[in-house]
Formats: sequence, structure tokens, C-alpha cells
Amino acid sequence: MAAGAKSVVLKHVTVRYGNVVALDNISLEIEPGELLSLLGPSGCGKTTLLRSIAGFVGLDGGEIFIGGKPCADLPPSKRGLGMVFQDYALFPHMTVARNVAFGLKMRGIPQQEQHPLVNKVLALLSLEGMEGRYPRQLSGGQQQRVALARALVVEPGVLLLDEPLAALDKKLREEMQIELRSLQRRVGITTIFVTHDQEEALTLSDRVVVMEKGRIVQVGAPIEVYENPRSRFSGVFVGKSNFIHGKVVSCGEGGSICEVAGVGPVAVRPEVGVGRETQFLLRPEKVHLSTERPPHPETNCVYGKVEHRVYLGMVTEYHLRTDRGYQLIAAVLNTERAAMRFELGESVWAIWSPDDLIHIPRTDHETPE
Amino acid sequence: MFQAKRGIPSRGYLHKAFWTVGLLVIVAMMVPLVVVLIISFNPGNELVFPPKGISLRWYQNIFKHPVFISSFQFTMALGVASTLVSLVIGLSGALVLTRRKFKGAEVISSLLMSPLVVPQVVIGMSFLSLFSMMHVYQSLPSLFALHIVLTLPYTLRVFIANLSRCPVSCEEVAMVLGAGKYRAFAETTLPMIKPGIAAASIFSFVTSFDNITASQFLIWDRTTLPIEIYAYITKENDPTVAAVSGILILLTTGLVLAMERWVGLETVTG
Repeated sequence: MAAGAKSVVLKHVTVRYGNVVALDNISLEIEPGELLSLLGPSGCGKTTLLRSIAGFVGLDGGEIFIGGKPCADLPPSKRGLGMVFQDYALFPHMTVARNVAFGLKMRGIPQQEQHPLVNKVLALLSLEGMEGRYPRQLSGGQQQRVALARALVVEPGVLLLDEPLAALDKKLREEMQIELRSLQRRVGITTIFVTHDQEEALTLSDRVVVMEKGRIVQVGAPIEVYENPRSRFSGVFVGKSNFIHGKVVSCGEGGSICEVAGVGPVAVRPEVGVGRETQFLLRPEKVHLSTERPPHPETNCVYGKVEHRVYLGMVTEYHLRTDRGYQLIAAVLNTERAAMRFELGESVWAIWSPDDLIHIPRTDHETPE
Repeated sequence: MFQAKRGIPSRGYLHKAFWTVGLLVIVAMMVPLVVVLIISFNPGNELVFPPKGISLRWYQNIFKHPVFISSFQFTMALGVASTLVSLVIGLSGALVLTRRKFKGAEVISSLLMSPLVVPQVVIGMSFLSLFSMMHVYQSLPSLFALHIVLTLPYTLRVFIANLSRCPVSCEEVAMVLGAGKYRAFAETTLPMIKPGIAAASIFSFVTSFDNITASQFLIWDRTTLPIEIYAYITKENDPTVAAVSGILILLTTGLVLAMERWVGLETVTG
């Protein structure tokens, strides 16, 4: 079988709600032990995809294989999964111990055998001593852990997480991200994680699946998705970005020159045909600021005035505007305690290397600014 | 009951006025019940207050009127049966109305609630015409149908309120963990709406038990207790009905206390 060693395989999965296509021909293979996140704005289909893997959403086309087995006729109860919802869905009328033991009970495991398994998973999630409590007596982070324990105790083939950290405050969320990641590595369980938070996706995942309007826009390791976005959408959705649109005016060895409105000539790496309209993405942290014009003629630069300054602690974002109206964001690491390096209204040189310009091919369905 | 909520500071006159009005309302609600109880122990054969002694003769007198006993049994049976059916229909209806978004859900919901706003005289009349057309001249089937319709708004309302507070994700988690569809419902949602079941049962049973206005149109071969009490008091003027009322008050109190033990009263009324 083609689906052999993969943990989950999706082949041309399509789901429609009336006239709306929620999932449009999704194909994806998930390796055993991998943590894969589905990232996208609300309505992009990421939750629908997770729910169709769980068996709550019927497919209008395509196939899903879990552990090599086709799932078309399997109800959620027979798919051997674990799942954690955004609201945790703890059973309010059961104690922590009974919540965690629920899956074991449904599998017909006798009570005396449930006990050690429950204790083991509670220890794994540092929940010892909580057995007799009810969900309402727990903090958000503890509830989250109980939900994970309940999902893990049955040793599912795949763990599905539907925005499980969204309800926690920022500090706790970041702690849980690290904890979740280390837990997932220790247990070695294949995990599919839905999130709309790009930072969370980058922090946690082996691979990120960027989704838009029911389609997969890009699949790749966090660094790939961030440094090499393949579409305008992934570039904008993951991280912050500057866009440079221009027309190729000359083409030579190792690169081309683009004429960019508001900036002037810009050196770019790929050799693109003369006369073509192109767009490039430039990450703010790749832009350096200086009061002096760079000596190298090969680096790109533009002179502009600091219009806004956003202090973010570790970095400061400078929003520049050129005389001819082009806007550019540069992120500068605050390496010195004393003060921010540039003042509002100050004119500075923004400098970047042609290597840092990411060529974004224009596609039909994207809407230009 | 009279314990002031912490954190609400007393505000002089306004505060006193609030408590005075509240106290008056509670007294006004309790007084008639207490008066009826006391009158029922009256040794004389008049409905007078205060009574001139204490006696159980009117309680004994109930048993000399077998019609009270039989109509009590009939009303109880009717109340229990229509409550059971109303619970099942109300729960199924509420499940569909809260979990499936479909066109016309609002309309259906309003229709099922309509017995609350349509005058009971109209409902009674229309049931009378309907069952006459079908040549059904028996109290049991016609009152049974009527009481299901009358109690449905209460059960439906309570279940809709309960289910909308009870996330579907619990059932879904149960399914992922290996429970079938119905097992998942029975293990998660059903216990979560236990207070709702208690509340719906009380509302429904009481609504059925003491309905007179609509029910009196369908009295053929059997009568309900409230109608019997009313008929008795128009003919006789002795405290027998006060004794019947006394028993009903005790039964109701017992029912409420039992619910309190089972689910906690605050979750039933809240």
C-alpha cells in the first residue's frame, strides 16, 4: 500500500458546505512522530481538515489513511486518535481521574488495570495529587494538562490538537508550548496541531502547513516557511514583510536590476526576463539602518525619514518613508540599553542585500494591494 | 436566604426599602399557604380563620369522598405520563434546535412555545372541537394530548437553555476516546443536563397537575383534582378542600426537597 509507513495520508481531500468549498483537493503525508501544524486565518479550513481526520466531517472527495488504514467507513471512535479541543471539553461531572480513565473505560479495560495507566500519565503531565479534583477546581493550565492526559492515556496513533493553547494567557501559553513540544518528543506521538498563531506554529512544529481558503499554500519546516515563503499569502501571514514591486530593466550575470517605484533601481538575484513585472518580499530584520551611505555599490539602499517607531523590547521597528512615498519597515535589535538608535524624523539609509530579497511569483488568485 | 451578598455595601434608605419590599413579597407568597394549612385543622364546618381548635376531621372527610381519591390518582397519572412524554419530546426538540442550524428553526421553536401565549380557553376549545370531530369522548386520551402540548414549552425552554451551555465538544471527545454516538451522549451530555431534567420535570408536572382552564373543556368520564376541588367548593362550604390543599402543599414541598437532595435546588431554579 502506498500509504505504508506514513502516519497519516490525505489524498485529494475535498469538503463542501453547500456551495462553499471548505477543503479543496488537500493532499498531505505526515511522518510518524512528526509534529505538524496547520496554520491559517479563521475560515481557511484548518479546523475542518482536523475534524475530517477525526471523522466528524464527511468527505466529498478524496481519501484519508491513518496508520495505513483507509478511514472512509470508520466512525471517530474507531480511528484510534486522541484529541484536545480549544475549550478542553473536560467532563465537568467527573473527577480528573475519571476524566483521564474515560478512554480506557470505553475500551473495556478493567478498573484495576486502569489505575496504574492513569497514574502514569498523570505523573507524565505533573498532575499528581489532582486525581480527586473536579475540572472547575483547576487552573487553565491544569485543565489543559488533564485534557492532554486524557488524550494520551489510550496511546493513540495520532494526537489531534485544535488550538489547545488559545485560551491561555501569553506567558502560560509560551511555557505550555515548550512543555508540549518536549512531551511530544518524549512520547514520540504523531501530532497535528491547528493554530492561527504563526509564532506558535514556528515554535512547535517540525513542519508547518500554511492554509488559505481551503487550500494548502505551502508546506515546510518553520525556517523554510519564514525565509522562503512561496506566495504572498504565506509571506504576509507568517512574520512581517515589506513588498517590493518593480519592473525588470536589465538582466545579467547573477542577477537583474528592477526599477522600483519610490525607490529607484534595485539589484535582485534571480535572472528574470527584462520587462517583466515582479514582486519581492523583504523581512524587516534583514534591513539595516545607517546614517551613512553604504560603500558597496552592490548592496541596495534607499534614503528615508523615520515616520514611526515601535519599541518592542528586544527590537525596535522603524517605519521609513522615502521622498517619493515608498514605505519600508526595518527591525533593529536593541543591543544597547541607553537609547534607541534613531530619532523620529531623522533621515537614514536603509540597506539590504540582494540575497535577502525573496522572489514571490504572482499567482492568479492573489489580490494585489 | 436573607444573607446579604458580600461586596454590596448597604446604601441607607434604598437598601432598607429593597429588603422591606422583598420581605413583603415573600410574606405575601407564604401567607395564603399557611392560612390554608391552618384552616384545614379547623374542627368547625366553616372556612374560618383563626380556627377555634384543632382536629383532623376534614382529613378524614376526604376519604368519605372517593371522588377526591380517584381524581387525585387520575391527575397524578396524567401528570407523570405527560411529563415523561414531554421530557422526551422536549429533549429531542432542544437537541435539534440547538445543534443543527437550519432554516425555520426559529419558527418551529416559536410554534412549540405558543401554548404560553395563546389563551388557555382557546386551546381548550380547540382541543374540544378537534376530539369531538374525531368522536373521542374520553378524558384520558384528550387530556393526555392537551397536557403534553401545555407542558412542552417548559421542558423545551429548560433543555434549550441547558444544552446551549453544554458544549458539543464533550460528546466529540468521548467519541474520539472510543464511545459510540449514543454512549457518548449518555456519558457526557445527559449527566451534564441532570439539573435541567429535574427542573423540566417539576415545571412540567406542576403545569399538568394544576391546570384547570384548558382541562375543563375535556372532562368527559374522568375529572382532575383541581377541577374537583373547584366543583366541591361551589357546592359545599366546609374545610375538606383545605385539607386536600394541605396534602398537596406537603407533597409539593416533599417533591422540591427531593430535587434539592438529588441535584441541588439552586441549579434547578437558576
